[in-house]
Amino acid sequence: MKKILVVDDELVLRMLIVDSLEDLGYPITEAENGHQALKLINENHYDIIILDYMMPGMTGIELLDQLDPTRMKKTSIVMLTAKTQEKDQDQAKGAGVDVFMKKPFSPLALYDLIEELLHG
Amino acid sequence: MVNMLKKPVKIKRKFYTTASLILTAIVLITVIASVTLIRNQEIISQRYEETTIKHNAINDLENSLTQVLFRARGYYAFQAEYELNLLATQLEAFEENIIYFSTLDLSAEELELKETLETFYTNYTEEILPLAIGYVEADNYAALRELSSTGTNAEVNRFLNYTQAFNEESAAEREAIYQDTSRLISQFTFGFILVGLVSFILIIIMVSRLLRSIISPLLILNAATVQMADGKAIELAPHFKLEELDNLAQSFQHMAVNVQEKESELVDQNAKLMAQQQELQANQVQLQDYVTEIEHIKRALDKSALVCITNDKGIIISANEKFCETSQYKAEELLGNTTRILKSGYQSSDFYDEMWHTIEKGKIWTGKLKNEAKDGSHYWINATIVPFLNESGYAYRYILIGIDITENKQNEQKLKVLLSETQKAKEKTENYSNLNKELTVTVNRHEFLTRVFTYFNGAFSFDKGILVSVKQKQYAEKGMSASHAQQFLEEDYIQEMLIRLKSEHFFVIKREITPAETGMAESSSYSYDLYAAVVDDDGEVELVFAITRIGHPFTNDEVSEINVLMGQLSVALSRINIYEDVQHARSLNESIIQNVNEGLQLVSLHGELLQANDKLLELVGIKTSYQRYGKDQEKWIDDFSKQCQDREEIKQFYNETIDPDFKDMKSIRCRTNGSKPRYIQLYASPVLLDNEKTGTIFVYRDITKEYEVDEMKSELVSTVSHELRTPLSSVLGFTEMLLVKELKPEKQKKYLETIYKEAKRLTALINDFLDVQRIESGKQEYQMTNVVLNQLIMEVINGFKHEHAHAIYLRDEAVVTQVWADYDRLIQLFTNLISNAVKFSPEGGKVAIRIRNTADEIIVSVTDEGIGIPENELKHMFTKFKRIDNSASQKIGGTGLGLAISKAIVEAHQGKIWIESVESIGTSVLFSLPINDNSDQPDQLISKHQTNTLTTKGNVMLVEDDISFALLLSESLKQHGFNVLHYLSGQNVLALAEEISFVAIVVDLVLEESMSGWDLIRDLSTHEKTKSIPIIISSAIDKTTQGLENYPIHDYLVKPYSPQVLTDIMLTLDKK
Repeated sequence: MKKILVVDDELVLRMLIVDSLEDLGYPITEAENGHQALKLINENHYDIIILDYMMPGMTGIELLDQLDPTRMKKTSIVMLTAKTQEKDQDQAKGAGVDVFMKKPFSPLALYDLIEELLHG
Repeated sequence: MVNMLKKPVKIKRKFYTTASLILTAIVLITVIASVTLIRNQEIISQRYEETTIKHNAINDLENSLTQVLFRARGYYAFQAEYELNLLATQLEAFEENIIYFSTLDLSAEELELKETLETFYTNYTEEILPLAIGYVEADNYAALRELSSTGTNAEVNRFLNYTQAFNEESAAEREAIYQDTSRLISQFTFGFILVGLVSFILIIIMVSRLLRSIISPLLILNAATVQMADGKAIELAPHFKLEELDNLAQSFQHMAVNVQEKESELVDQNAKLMAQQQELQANQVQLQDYVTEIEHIKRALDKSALVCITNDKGIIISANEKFCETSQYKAEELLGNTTRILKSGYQSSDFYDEMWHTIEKGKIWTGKLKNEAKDGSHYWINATIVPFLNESGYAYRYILIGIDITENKQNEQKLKVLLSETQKAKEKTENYSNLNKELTVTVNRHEFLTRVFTYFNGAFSFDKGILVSVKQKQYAEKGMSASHAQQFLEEDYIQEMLIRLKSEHFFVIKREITPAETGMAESSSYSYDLYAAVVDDDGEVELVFAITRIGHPFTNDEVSEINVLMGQLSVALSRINIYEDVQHARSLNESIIQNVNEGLQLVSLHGELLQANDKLLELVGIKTSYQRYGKDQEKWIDDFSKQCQDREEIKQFYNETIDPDFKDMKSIRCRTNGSKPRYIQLYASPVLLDNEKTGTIFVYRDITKEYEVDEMKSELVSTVSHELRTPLSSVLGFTEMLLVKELKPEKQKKYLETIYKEAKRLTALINDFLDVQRIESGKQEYQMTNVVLNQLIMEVINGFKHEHAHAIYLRDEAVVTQVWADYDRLIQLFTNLISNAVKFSPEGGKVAIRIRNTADEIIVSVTDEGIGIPENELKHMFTKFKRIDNSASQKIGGTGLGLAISKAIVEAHQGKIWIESVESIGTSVLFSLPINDNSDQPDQLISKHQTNTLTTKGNVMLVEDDISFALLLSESLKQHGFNVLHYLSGQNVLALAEEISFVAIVVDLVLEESMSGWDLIRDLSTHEKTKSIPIIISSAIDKTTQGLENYPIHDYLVKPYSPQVLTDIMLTLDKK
């Protein structure tokens, strides 16, 4: 059973993401900030982490920096962000982000992406 | 020698005998030859003459005959009498010629010819001519022709033939004569040559013989002479052919011997003589030199000096021309007189005694004598008197040599005068130069005045005076009271004087002495005031010099000197003026450079740091003076650049732009090190003089603020973009879901609600953002009016009346409530703050808006009972898009711009805004607004005072939804010291009433909201804490007694009523 973690400070967006992916049939966990997410990641293994960049308290990149890379090898990290500048993308790639997706995003495209990451 | 003179006669005679013989022979031969020659010559000449005469005669005959024939033919031809006459004349001439010819010595043939001609003549004249005349007269030409061709002509022709022959003959004859003559001459010439040759040979022979007999003895004698000259002995053999020579030789021999004998003696004598002569010659030369020298001296003396010789008694025995000339006496007048006649009496008798005493002793006296000339004028001589001493040492003569020094003496006198004048001039010049020194020492105006004044005082000593710089109102004075001196600075006081000085530049006033001055006066009773001015180029009086002298007038010298000095002051003053201008311009530049808000730095071509202002040093953080760098380019560049990040880049920038060949502008941005970095834009610009680079100017502009704004802007753009994308994501995402997925109706509705909410959020966000932009960029226009603040607040609160969970009320403690503000913006401000308060107190509760007065402000606070703000976040609250990072606030949402907008509005009204908050307890946003002093609230000022003096009486609650009426009531209450709490509805009044004590609660019975006045009154009366609070009903409905007894109703007021009524009730209640 694959596990998915969604990290976003916007409740509405978390809802949108969860609803977009619900057809995959995998359990989806939500975290509304970095601290929560860090705790969850350290306690569980997730195959997919969908991560917002701009979050109060701890940004998505800061979160990634605190993770143990060895434990993340089998985890695909999708950064979903309104930060769209190239330097942000580069920074994200450098921090271990596998796929960079811009907001606003298409729920179907996200679905396809996650499915491919899990099964492709 | 004597012998030799006696005998030469014999040689002479021999010579002369021979010579005369030869000469005689030659003469003889010559005479004979000449006679012969002349004789022959004569004969030949005679022959030649005869021939010539005959020849001429024959020619004449021929000619006359020809003429006769010619005329005859003429006659025949023209038959004119005239021709006939001519013929007759020719015939006569012909006849004469024949006669002449007959007289000549004629040869036989000639005789015959002569006769023929005579015959012809006779025949012609006697026969032919008359016949011809007859023919002519008869015009018988044929006969004439006949006649001319007959016999007559034969004779003529014969004669002509003869003349021709004769001519040839006579030419031959003359040729022969010539031949004879030539022959004769050549013969004679030959003869002469012959004679000459013979004579020559004879002379040669004779001379050679003579020479031979003389030369050889002479040679011998010569050799002997040479021998004798050489001093050798000679031997002459007396065997000369000639007796004379023999004698000569003997005499010579004798003489030679004699000579040789005497010679040695002679040599000795000669040597002595020679020596003597040389000596004599030397003496002579020396003597000559002496004489010349003495003559020179004498001449020189006569030219230049007076010379006079006296005897021992002083009687003049000689005086030279110069002496006479100078003394004007003639020599005769002087001679025989004593020198006394020359005395001028100028010098004392002692002087003369001393002189005589000296020379009598034989000593030389020198000295200057003043003598009198004949005309009584005096002259000076520089005299030397030399005594001539005799063998016993007594002076028997005195010679005076003197030089006329009268002119010198006069010059000396003149020089003395000149010297004193020069001295004066020198003093004057020194004065000027001293003044000049004073003038050039200073460029400080006051010091200048003082120095000049001191100088003037020294130079012209006066009793009191002042030197005033008119425009600058500065002065230096002496002997003046401060108040009097001060008067010279007042325009009114000196106006008249200035006007006069402007035109005259200078004047002196003589006036009666004033009583105050008499103390100093000695004898005179006048004072002299001198006024002088220095006038500038525009003719304005720049400097006034006014001095007073008591009793001593100013001399012309002083006056003109002061005038000159004033001229000098003018020059010096303009120098000071220029200096001051320059100084002023310089300090202006300096202060511009120092006060400009940018760092400035001037660097020479060689990298020397010439100037740097304080701002620069502050910017780059250099604490010491820039001067210490001097020419050390590397050092300052190093120090400057190490203050920045990108140190090497800055260094390179400096080096590149300082380079003399770099003439462009260039700029670089640098960031200083340190915890608070500054951003500096550094511009380099060449200093060009005639397109020639002379240095580089660096301008350091502190762009930290711009940089930060820039950063903030880009941050803002990024944030805004983010903020917009989040709601957009929701809108688009859920829309897509709705479109592509089969959804349950509930889900669809939820999605649509979400979309609606997010879209609204997006709109709010955009509006807020635009507001912020407008306000911050200063583009927001404020329509300032007089705003009654409590009324405005009530209206805003009214807008929140549907927020049932919150009790929003106004606690009005402000007596003065008017502000100068933009009504709409204040509405926005309060709406923002109240909605924030509502939002962040999700549990509901009271929202209190409180206004109160300070001295000149109204303080407003909006307090909620919400989640509060953590202390560390407080300072960031007014930052845009800032929201509190806690779970409680996460749920609330918002644009994060409300407080930023609020802050901008408050600040636009010259107010301040701040936040006080305790987490989980609540938050207060407070701000101040200045009171509008210009409001039309007439009693405002009084009220303001009252607020300070009145003691707070207590709280009155007005539950009234008629805002204007509520405000009317509160106005009166507040003026009597009550605090008024406004509630527009009855909600939550109870909770408040439980907390705060009230004097009374005024309730309107008819309230718009769900809760009526009666409900409130019921609530209040049932609660333990509130049931004792007096309630006053304020209603438009007439008082009914129904149910009133059940409640603690203190009063029932029917609208409209005077606010004073309520206030009075309150005052009564308050006393209890």
